[in-house]
Amino acid sequence: MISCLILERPGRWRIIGLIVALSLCAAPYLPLLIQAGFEVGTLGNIFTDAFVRSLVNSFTVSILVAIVSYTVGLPLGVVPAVFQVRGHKALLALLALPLLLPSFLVAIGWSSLAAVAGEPIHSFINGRGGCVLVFSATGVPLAMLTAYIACASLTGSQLDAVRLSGGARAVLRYVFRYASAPTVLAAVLAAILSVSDPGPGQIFGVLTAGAEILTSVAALYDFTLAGQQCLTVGLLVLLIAAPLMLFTAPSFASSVLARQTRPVERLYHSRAELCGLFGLVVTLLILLAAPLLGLFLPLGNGVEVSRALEELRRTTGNTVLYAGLASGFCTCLALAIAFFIGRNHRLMIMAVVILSIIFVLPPSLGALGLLQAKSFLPGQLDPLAKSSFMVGGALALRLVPVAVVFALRSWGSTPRSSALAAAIQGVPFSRFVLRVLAPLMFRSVVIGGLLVALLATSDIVTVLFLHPPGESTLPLAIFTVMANAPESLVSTLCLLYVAGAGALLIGIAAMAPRRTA
Amino acid sequence: MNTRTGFEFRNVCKSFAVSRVLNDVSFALPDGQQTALIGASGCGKSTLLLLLAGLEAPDAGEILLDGRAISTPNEILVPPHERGVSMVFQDLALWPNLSALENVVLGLAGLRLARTEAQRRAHETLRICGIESLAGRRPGTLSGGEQQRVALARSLAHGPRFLFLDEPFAGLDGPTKFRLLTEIQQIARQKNMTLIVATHDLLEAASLCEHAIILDDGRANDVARIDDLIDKSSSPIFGSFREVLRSIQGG
Amino acid sequence: MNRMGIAHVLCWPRLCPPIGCILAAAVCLAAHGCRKEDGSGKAPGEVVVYTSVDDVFARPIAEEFEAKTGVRVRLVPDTEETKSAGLVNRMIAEKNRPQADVFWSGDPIRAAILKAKGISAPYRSPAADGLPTQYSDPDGHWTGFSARARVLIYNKNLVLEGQEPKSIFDLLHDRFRGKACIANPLFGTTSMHAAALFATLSEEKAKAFFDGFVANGGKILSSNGEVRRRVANGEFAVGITDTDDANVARLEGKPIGIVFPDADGMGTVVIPNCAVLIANGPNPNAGRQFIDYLLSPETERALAESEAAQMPLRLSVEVPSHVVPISRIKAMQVDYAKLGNLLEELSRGFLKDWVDRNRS
Repeated sequence: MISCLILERPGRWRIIGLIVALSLCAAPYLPLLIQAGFEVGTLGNIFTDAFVRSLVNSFTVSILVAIVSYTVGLPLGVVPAVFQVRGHKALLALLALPLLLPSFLVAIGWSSLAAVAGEPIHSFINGRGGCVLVFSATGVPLAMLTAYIACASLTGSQLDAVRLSGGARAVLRYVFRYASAPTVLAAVLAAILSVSDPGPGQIFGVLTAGAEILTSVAALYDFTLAGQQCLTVGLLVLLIAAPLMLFTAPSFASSVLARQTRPVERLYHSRAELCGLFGLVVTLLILLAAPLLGLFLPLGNGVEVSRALEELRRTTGNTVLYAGLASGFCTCLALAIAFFIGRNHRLMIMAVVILSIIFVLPPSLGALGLLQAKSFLPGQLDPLAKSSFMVGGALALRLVPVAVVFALRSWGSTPRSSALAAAIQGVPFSRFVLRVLAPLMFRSVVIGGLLVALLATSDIVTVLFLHPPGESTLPLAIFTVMANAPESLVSTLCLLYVAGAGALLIGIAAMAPRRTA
Repeated sequence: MNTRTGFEFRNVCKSFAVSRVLNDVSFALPDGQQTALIGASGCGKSTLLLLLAGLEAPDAGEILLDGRAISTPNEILVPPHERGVSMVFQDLALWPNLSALENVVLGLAGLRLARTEAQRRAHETLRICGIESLAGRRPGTLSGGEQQRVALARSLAHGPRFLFLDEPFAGLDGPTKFRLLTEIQQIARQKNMTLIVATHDLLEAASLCEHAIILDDGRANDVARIDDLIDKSSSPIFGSFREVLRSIQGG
Repeated sequence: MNRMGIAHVLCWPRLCPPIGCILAAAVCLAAHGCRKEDGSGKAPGEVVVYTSVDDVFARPIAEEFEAKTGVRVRLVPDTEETKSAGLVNRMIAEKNRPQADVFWSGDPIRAAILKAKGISAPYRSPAADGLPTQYSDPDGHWTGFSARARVLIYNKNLVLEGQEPKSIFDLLHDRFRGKACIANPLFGTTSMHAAALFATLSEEKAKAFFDGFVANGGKILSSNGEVRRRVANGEFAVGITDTDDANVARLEGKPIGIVFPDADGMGTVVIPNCAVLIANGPNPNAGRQFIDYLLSPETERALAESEAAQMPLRLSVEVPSHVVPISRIKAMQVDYAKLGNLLEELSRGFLKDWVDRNRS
């Protein structure tokens, strides 16, 4: 009989299991990275003037994105977590929408709006400013949600004690300090993601590292060069961000590995509520409404309902299928990683750092690696290798970092003594998982899975490379028709996609547990 | 020949991270008796219980049960559910999504009883603990004392030989504490259980147990009668207790 | 202890059956993606077509083929250039075990790249009868049909009558200072245009054009679609793009004028579609059948009548009034077969350097 004690006992098997799981996540990138690694002697040749400039541009933009994400995201996450702010869940859910939109779409929206708005907005948008704006649309929600979730691990007693000593202001100061470290980590992660994304740079005419990598693959068909550039970017990111991540990861770990405590009761403070609402609404208007307005401007010329519905009919099934498979695989892998990590802080930090690096690498690298590996597999595996499973699996491996956060959080909220009590009573492991663990972790894991599903739908590159012929998704269809379809058709498709994603996000927000006063 | 000699610690050491919690601890717990583990908060009482229960392994030394080694350095030779042990944890470790009855029934899962038999036993144990009427309620809807009783019922249901209580009365009011104390004593004597209670409260220890081990700075004395410790021990814990007793008696 | 909120309502044991059904459905849905392979590879009656032609133009042709022949077409279109790493990379990576039967390329360069990498197989279709051979590979690896052209588009509200550009070299003039745009010449048809200029003009003249373009304030945009959008909305006065982009702007009622440049000089770059048979594809017979259909006069007529407004290479095919017949264009004389190698050289050399120098 497997004892429930296995959930809490240390052992070498944990690090071995974790390494195996993390290797699986890194596997898609290995073929091209190894190829690049073998030619490490030529690594110096990649440092052309253009590539160096692109690195400077990318890292400048990413540092600005980190600063903006932290500065805006921290208060936006903290205030509604601690004070009563009416409608904050819906607003937070809507603010999370840019996480699900391909950055290209947001950039095109801004570009269209800038054209209408004229100077000086036009000049600001068409350059690094536009890139910072677009990437901040992802970074701010990421930082905001992290701050919000971090505050959830505060205890009611902690805040009551602070409130007694210094009132609402003291509470704010305390909570800001508490949520600061994990929010920094989230802002850094968002900034890291921006380094390998070529989209906004292409639209706004800024030479970025992501664009250089894309050029190597798409224009020069030089996978080795692309791999070397990715390795370089990855190492630079590690050099710059790793110290910060190592510093903040323990706080992130503490806030993730939450203890079961008396939850925080939100305070009523009229000024705080007003400021919170104002901040959320203004940020929503700037980061979401404005680019969407630009994207939907062509709808003024008419809405192409029937053509859009035809695309929807053709692609919805595949979109849902790939998202569902990605969510399922990802959740299982994330739970396995959470299981191997257990409550070991060191293992968690190691996993966070490695998964962050994997997350940084461009999806095209992973997709191409899988594609190459696929072609060497025996023919008998074709039904699997060339099926939707491959697409789902590839998407899952890319999004594991997101699911791991939720898995760790939900595992962390179950007390250690739960499993110990089961072990001592001799409760079989499977019974304990089914009757106790699964129900307790269900909500968090499902929310994580839904988020993964939504993020998977916006990954165009992986789907483009791996989807079985004729089985495209809606976002990919938007990017294939946008070349020469009427703008109103593209806008209508975008509208349908945004509406669906928004509805799902609000549904996820509704599933979150309510903290009753 | 009675081979039931109970638990024995031999030169046990245990560390967590860089701090040494237990340092060369040796003692033999009297079987069939009630023994208190006394010490300040954070001195290693809970760790000691976890080692006895087989939920942690010692870094050095040996733990024996009835003369047989059950835990050696970094190895648990006999798993917890085979030691005849049950434990009420400091945070009670109740499974919050299950009702009181379901908590007890799941606790019996290791015995592979028929469903009806498990239900019957669970009801019986809840009745013994005085909370049969709360069988359908979830722990979150119960008071502190009621939750304690559910945890106790779950621990008693499968008839353990040893019952470990980790700070069992923390946070309870006086009358509730006294009631529970009395009931646990009665149940332990009825079922001839060896009771081991970790507590920092000497009054609780003295009320419940005949013997005690003092834990101080990772070290432990041998098992002694509580009465003797109260009268003669030079430990500061008992020194302060004697002062308090004198001041109460002195009026 | 916390209440579990929704867990009070959703009791876990009760959820097991519906969750089990959902999981079973997901497995079935996923299983539909696992195709059985017969001796020829894919299920019979199927052809897999990868295409770099815009989806909105290619899909109706594919559907028409399906309706006529009963052979199911699994179409894999590409995204707008520069927005992804491209379908060609997928074919290169799949080289050992191709999934595609046919590559329908929007230009000869991509077709030539596949030939150079040993991914295509020669096929001289009987349906190619009547198609001019100068737009096809001499070794039969790709066959040209229905063409686009590289054109100048201008915003009628910003360019006075009589001031319209007539040549691409007009974009170097003062009257278009800071008002001209071109797509990134490392990608798509712009890359082919660039290669054609280097092949036709001398290297110095071609470089002088590109350098002069940016010296005159010209901007590099991400794609032909961007050029169309931003000229149509007045951000730029003039741009270089393809005829299908220009036609879409016309159909949307944008204030766009179209000029086939250099009619009196070197001529306009004509970009034929190319049909390529993929070597060792899973459905070679269906692949050939599809190529035959692509090369037919019916397809050329359909593409001419579509929003793509493509010019049939067969002079006998009638065209709508808004489509300029190829006979009325002075086509630039280009050896398409050699453009591929030239472009590879330029992409690693001058063009890459030019793009890098002229982005911030």
